[in-house]
Amino acid sequence: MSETAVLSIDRVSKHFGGIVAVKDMTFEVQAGEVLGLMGPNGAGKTTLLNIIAGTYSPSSGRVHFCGRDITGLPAHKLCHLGIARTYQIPQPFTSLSARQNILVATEYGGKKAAGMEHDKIFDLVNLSEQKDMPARDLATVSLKRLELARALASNPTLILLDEIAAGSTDAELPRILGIIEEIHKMGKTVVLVEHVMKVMVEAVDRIIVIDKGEKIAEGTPGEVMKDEKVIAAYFG
Amino acid sequence: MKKFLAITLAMVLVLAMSIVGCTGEPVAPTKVVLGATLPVTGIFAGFGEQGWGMQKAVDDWNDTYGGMYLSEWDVTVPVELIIKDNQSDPNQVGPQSTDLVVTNKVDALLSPNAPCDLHDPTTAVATDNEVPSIIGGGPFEPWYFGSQGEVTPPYTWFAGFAISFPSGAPRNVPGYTMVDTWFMFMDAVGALSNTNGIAGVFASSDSDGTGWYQSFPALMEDYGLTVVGVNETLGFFPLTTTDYSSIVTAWKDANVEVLWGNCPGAHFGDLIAECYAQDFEPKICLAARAALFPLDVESWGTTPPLGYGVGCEVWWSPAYQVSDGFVGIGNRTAASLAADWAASAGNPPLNRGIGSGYMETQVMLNAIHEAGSLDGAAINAALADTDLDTISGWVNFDPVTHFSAVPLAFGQWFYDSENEDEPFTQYIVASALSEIPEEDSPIFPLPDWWP
Amino acid sequence: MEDFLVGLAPPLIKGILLGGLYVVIALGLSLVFGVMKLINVAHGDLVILGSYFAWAVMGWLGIDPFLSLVAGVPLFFVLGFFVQKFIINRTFRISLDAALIACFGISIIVQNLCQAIWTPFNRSLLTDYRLLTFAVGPLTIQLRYLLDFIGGLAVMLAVRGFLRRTYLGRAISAASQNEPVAERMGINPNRVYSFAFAIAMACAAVAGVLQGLTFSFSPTSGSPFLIISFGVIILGGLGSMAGTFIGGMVFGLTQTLGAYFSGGSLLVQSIAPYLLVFVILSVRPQGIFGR
Repeated sequence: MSETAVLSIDRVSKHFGGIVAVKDMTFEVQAGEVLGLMGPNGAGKTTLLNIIAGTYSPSSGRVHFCGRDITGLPAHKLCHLGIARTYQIPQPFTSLSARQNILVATEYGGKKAAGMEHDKIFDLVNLSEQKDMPARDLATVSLKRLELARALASNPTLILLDEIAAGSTDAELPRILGIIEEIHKMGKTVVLVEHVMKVMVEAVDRIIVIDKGEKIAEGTPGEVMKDEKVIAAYFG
Repeated sequence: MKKFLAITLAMVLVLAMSIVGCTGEPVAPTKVVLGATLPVTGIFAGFGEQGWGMQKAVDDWNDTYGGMYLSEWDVTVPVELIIKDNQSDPNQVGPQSTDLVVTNKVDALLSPNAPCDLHDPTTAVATDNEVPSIIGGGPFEPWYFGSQGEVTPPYTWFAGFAISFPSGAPRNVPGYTMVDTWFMFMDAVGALSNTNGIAGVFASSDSDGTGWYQSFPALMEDYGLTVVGVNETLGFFPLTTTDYSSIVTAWKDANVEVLWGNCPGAHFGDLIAECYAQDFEPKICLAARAALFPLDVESWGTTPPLGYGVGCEVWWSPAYQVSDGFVGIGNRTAASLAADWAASAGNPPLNRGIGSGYMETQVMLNAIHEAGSLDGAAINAALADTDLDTISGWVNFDPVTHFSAVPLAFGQWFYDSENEDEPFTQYIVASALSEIPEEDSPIFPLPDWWP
Repeated sequence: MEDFLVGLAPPLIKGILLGGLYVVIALGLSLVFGVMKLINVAHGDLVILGSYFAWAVMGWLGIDPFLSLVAGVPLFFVLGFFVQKFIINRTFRISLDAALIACFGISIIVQNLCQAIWTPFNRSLLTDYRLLTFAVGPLTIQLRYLLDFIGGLAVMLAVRGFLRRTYLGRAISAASQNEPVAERMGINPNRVYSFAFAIAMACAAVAGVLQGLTFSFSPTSGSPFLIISFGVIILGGLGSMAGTFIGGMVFGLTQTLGAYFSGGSLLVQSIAPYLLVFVILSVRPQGIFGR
């Protein structure tokens, strides 16, 4: 494991009964890096994300975060250590306002050091005008932004983004790319699961392609797109 | 093959043992065991204190005679009493009685003076298992006409009072039924002339209250009172009720001056508090069951003393005596029983149920002694022949109904603000029988709650 | 018409005021169910324990039941915290059913504890002011019922404000809505459970005083209040404090108005709210205020 690795996945497998969702996965994410996880539906990307975030513990293998073994720690502890994630389908606390949603994340997750001011977060995700609305009244697009805002509010070192661009129009993509760029500039490490190719190609430093739970390719976006295994996995 | 041999051998052994067991000399009993299931805890815990009286009778017997002499065996063996707590739950009474018979192998069952669903299941168990049993209290009719289908249960005997069932000579005189004692009180205070004669009734929807509501309003009408709202079942309430404002308003609107009913003490406490809060005070307030026990009356409070003047029937009096003075076992008198109770742990106020408990145990012990045997049929025959002066009156059972009436009186609760430990005392204010003397004159109308 | 309105006023007022008592009793149950989806069947008994605590303090030290809450609320809070931490949270590792069984166990233990310490006989919180009444125009208001209403409103507002405005309260709200996400945000669910149960117990202490001032109680008298609380929560909608408040009012009003329009029948009074519960369940299963 290299000194600068924020996240290190070491021969991690996950079975659900007889089904292998992730098989013998090994990779590292360096500090400040934006890593993309790519693969067809059911390839095991979200399972991997859930293992990193502590929702599942792996069937075998170890996960290290900033040099510390975090395998099997509960989600709330991982949050305190500095891992945040967003959900593909937004899961806000519906009765709380947008601001209160973020407050919860700051109060319970952000105990490490002073994080971003809430107003700055709201500006970043373009949610300032809706911050006092109850979350249940927000549109889906706004809820996606709230997911992101809430993840940022816990002041993470590593942020896991699960399909934040899914369902967005082409016109909204530059905005999303801008947000990822901002996060990157803050020095945070990002792991991105994304189907929208434009986001993948433009935002990430490195891509890992997964198929049937296994890593089939790794490299810069340019390299990966030319890989035969990747083309085979996507186009048959 | 080995297995087959082992099983055969085991079966032969069991068979041999059982044959020896059957044909061998019967072994003399080493003790006499009485059993009772009582509401020691739960909302009828006041009735459960009869267990003290039962135990006292057993202790008196052991102390006086050194145990039970069984002529069949020519042995004297100690008497034991097993009490199970049914937590005031009627559903536990049957299983507990069965348990007493089957597991504890009791020789006789004692059933408390309590709401009838707390002793009726025991009667069925006694009949099924041919174990003699006795109920020491009342009223008689719900037991006799209710669950038993008017066929007298062969193994159960009832020593207590009736609602109105004639007791048979020489007891066919006032002083043995609820109706004549209650109306004796109404006569004594001139209820028909000194009030407007408009009565409100209340009853809880359990078996005791339902039976009361079905029979008493009609009796009150016969007596000359006008009963409000019976056709609309006004005042009939489920046990989960806590708020009584609607019926109190209805009584107030109907100008009720006589309040009469039957429910647990807790419910009456909330009811009478609501009467007070609505500034509705009847001139007469009679509460069967609710006003039996001092702790219930105390729980209604002293600011104001809501129990002051509330009346109900009285089962037993420490003053009860016949000419030679000794009506209990050995040197026991009614007065000494009450004194021992008052001196027992916590110095409790008088619970008249202890007399009932003592009385029925006394009758059962006497029958076992007369039978000289622990055979159920023999004890049952001895019970049928009972002719005994007890701590609560003369007991001899009617051969058809198995009923023996014992005296009943009427009492009201008196309040003494100076007495902080026991502010309420129940005094007998109406009695038809000289054995139970009246202790004070009736309170009428109810004392002003608002001094 | 005027007579009709004059007649209608007392049951209307009584229903609303009485509803306040139901609110306080139901709040704790609602909170625990909202946060951990656990039906705390011991809640009624814990309320009665609250009544006994006030009764005991009144008997020993002559302290007013409301004043005794200064000690009672923190005591119940701490007790609730540890009961959850050391008993119920551990049963959650097995299953929700195990936790439910644990609650049954707590119910039996509390009932028997009350019997053992305070005897099975009835008690009331016999304060001097218990039965005071005062006139407002042509109407008579009973102090104890007014206290119930004020208590219900105050406790509801306090719990609601707590859930919205405090650090811990927001965590409880968040966990009750989406526990996995709340945990992802750094909230330790077991800790939240412990505090939720602690608050429910603190509410039970207050409810115990109000119930003991209003009605008599014995160790077994908690169960009817558990049933009433279910009704209140179903009427008001789960998880909403304001809904529980309205549910309590509706429950109380249905009782008193049911009795009023049936000519004082207490049978109707006891059945009417549950008929309404059935209607609500079929028309609006999420409750009047549920979402």
